[in-house]
Amino acid sequence: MSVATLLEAAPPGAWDTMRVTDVDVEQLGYRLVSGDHSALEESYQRWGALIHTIAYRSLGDADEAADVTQNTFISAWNGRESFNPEMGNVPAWLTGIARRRIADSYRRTPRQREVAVAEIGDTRPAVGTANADPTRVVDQVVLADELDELGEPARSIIQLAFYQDLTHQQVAHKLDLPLGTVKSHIRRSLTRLRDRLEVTHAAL
Amino acid sequence: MQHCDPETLALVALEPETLGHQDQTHLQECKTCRTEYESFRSTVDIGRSGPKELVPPPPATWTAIAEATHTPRLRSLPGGAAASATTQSASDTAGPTRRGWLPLAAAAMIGAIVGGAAMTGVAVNQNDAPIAQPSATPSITSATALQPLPEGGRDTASTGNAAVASTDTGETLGISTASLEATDGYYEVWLIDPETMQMFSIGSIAAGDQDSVLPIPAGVDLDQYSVVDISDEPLNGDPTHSKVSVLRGQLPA
Repeated sequence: MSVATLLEAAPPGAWDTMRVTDVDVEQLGYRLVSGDHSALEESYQRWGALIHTIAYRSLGDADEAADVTQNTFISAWNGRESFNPEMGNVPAWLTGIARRRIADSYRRTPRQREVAVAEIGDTRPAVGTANADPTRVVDQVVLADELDELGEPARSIIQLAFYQDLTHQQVAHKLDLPLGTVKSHIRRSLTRLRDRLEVTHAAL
Repeated sequence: MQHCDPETLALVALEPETLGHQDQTHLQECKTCRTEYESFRSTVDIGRSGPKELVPPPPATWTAIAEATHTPRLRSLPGGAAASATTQSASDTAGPTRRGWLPLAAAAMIGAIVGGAAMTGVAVNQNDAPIAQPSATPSITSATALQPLPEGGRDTASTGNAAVASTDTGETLGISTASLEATDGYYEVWLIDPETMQMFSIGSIAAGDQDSVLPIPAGVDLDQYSVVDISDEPLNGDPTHSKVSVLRGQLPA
């Protein structure tokens, strides 16, 4: 068997599709603390977009958002020994670090900041203004991340209820699901989304 | 006092206009229900006002992080020569034992095969053996293609490869699989003596396109236990082979 054959079975990027399950999140924390580089890469694959989106929506500048993302993961790696996987989870810890890096960035360029933030141009209310509350931006992005993690049909149910403002009866009709199923998914999902926010707040 | 139904509170958080008179009165009186309701309201408000999608960082961001943290940049393989050294610090905080899916370790192994680049020994079990000392290149001592077993097993469209690598910390078995079908159970990797059909389980792998590196217990004679077998195991707690093999290969003597 040739090396080429071995590689054929593992096309480049094959591991891009990896998803970290809830169960693995705690393990990931231990692996990070122990200095496992693959845990850093997994964390980046899983939460790079979360951190980057928080930075981008807080700062309104793509270059600075990339810098904050970069610095957050480097800080996390260098400070990994201070992380206690029993006390918090990796995404909340990363989010806390990102908040501090964003604050650093604010201090560096306060004037450009207001201009930049005003240019985000998001059409949704309550963001994209110079007064955007940093905690609120974190909450919004963390919630979007958690929503993404909901299994089906919960994700579709919540997306329809959130973004299309459908009533639960309309959601049930549209997805052809019993009303009771939709109701119980709504309660479970809202509880899960709320809990994720609470875990994140605890780490900020 | 009759509390509000939690399901109703969640629904009303999404559709406040449906709040009934009775629940409204109760919410004014009951702090427990009001707190619950307000937390749902706030969650809905945050969700509705937030982004629908996240924005991934540009590719250069990971490159910079990998550089600053000395994380091997293995995605650029099969160039191989670019594979940088992995240095893992000694672990004081070992978590529970886990033999997880180790893409980097697998890639590092393959990278070593390809480039022959000088790199450190790759710790295979992250938590039990996290110390990797700079060492000679892990070398592949034996390899085989893994073939489906349409007869006497379960037919599969999957293919795979297995390679034995010798490192300072012992021997490891790298497994690459492509298109391994999803299963209700899990896939287990065995080393089998074809003469006696005695066997060792050395770990499990996931479905799909996967690279895994599993440690081979010290003292196992691969001339004797020369068959690499992947079985589909039900989640029934029975540690013996299910007799449902999906892929198999024989390591050359």
